[in-house]
Amino acid sequence: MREILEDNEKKFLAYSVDARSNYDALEQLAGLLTEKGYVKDTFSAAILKREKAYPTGLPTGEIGVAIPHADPEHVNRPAVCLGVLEEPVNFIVMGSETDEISVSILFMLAIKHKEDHMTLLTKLIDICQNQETLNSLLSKDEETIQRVLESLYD
Amino acid sequence: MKKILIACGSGVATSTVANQKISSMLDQNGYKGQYHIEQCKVSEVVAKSDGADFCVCTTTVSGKAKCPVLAGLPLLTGIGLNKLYDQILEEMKK
Repeated sequence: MREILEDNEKKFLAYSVDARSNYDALEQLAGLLTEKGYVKDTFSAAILKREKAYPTGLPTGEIGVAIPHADPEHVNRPAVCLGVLEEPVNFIVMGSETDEISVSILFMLAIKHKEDHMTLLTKLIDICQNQETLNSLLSKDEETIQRVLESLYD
Repeated sequence: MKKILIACGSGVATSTVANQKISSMLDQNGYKGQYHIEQCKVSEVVAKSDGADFCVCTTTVSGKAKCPVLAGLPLLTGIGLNKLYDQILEEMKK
């Protein structure tokens, strides 16, 4: 894993992730959020358990996205963690039991109160639906990523 | 007054997005004030479905809901969104 950026004030981070599988990617990013104190020790297990019960892959086009998250009780401080994968890994499609998609971008969400994140979540989903923006994130360019993540908080 | 359930795994993330998108679509179609949305966890859907007119879920519902259940994935991917909106508007007319 390599840090691309971390904005302590706005609470977003971006990492380049070399993962063997979807669960490997989830463990790496969840471990990072735990280490940095954004989430509790229980978060990582909760993310994995949730992904198995309610998968989070979004088939938004050529560049697939996943938005793993867990219940608010596992969160200390809200954060959005972007993981740009070196190589895509497969995720199960949300609302499906077996359909898989290839995912290159992860947005791991640490959510505390839904009321605080309404606009952020809607903006995040708009980003997930925009292949051009997703493609720009794949560049791992710090300035580009900073601009896109900042736009979530406007 | 139509009662709409909107659910996702945790009841806080994707159902929040679904709630916003559906509310704004219904308002634009002249339904402002004519519906009540309750957001919940997908595990609560079967129990809560008794008093609801229909439900939109971003994940699969296990068990038998007592109201029609629409798949909410298009709200998140944008693919097939118009078809889902048509289905919701159909349910509103019932």
